[in-house]
Amino acid sequence: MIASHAWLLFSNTSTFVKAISTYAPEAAQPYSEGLTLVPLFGAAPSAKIYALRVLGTSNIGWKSKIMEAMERVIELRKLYDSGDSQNGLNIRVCNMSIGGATLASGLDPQDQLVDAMLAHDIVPVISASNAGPATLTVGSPASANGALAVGAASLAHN
Amino acid sequence: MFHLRQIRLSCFVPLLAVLAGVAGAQTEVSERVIVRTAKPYKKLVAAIQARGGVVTNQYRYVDAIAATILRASLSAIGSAPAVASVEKDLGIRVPTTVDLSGLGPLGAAAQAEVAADSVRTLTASEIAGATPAAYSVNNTLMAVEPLHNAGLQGQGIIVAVIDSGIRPGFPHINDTVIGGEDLSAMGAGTRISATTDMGRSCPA
Repeated sequence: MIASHAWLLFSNTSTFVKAISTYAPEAAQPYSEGLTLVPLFGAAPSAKIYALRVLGTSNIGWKSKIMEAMERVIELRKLYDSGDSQNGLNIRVCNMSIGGATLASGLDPQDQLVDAMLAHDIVPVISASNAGPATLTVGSPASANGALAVGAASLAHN
Repeated sequence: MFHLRQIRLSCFVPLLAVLAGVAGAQTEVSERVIVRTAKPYKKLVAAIQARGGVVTNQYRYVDAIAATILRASLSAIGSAPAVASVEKDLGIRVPTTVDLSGLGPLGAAAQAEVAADSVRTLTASEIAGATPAAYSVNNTLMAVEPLHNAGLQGQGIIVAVIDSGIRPGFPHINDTVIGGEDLSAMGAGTRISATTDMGRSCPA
């Protein structure tokens, strides 16, 4: 929720609503029929989104293709930095809600591309995976040294 | 009896042909792989191509290439001096539902939580009518408000989203998406406008 804005309705019994009521009570607003309205404004509402589709029609994303997209992101930023505003883009953040199991945390080629992104002044924000709590459940590329890995606070809503 | 034997024979002959076909096809099976190898890639690319393989990506920012290699020549490519390792190119599937059944009592509690929730997003007209008095939960927790008050709202910043594309007209991200590329269909470099449906119903 960086560049977008949404108003979400949750059941009053939701753990999410309970958490908001505890830590940011002014953000939760009673709605009708036992529902609570949670307005979500992006932290950077004026930022723009550039979508790189790597998941095909069957919802399978090849690792090699994801790596291609990661390189493309770096390439677009490098073009922008070199003064080519026609072809380049001022990409400062890269969001990846995608990943797979790995036994080579930090050494996987995807992980190393995450480090390359960070080296090019792009913050890689990557989901930690839907598994766990258990060992070896943080997926690659969230397992990269340079990843800002995001995990769930609730089992149900990861 | 004669007729039965004839029937049996007529069954066996096509079966043998099918088996021979399968055996023949097996030598032609290819594998999608990622090969870890130091730059320059020229020699290895030539070696893969000479063995009937196709190099699909030569990465710039990591020492690796992606290729489709005949299964029969995998060991030869893998043992080439420049090759550090050969790994299978994984097809990463997006989970449609999260399986909580393996978590025992924890999973049961989580399932109950899902059942109790009725999360839904507001429609465009509801959004237009909503006047949230407070700031959003995420920004409150991150203390973003002083930055916003100072005029810092992410102007000129672009967030790249590597996922399943964008459904145009989705109310939450309207006017936010500037376009993208569909690497799953046409490879990197072809710009797609923000109004083009990339083909999937879920916004990234």
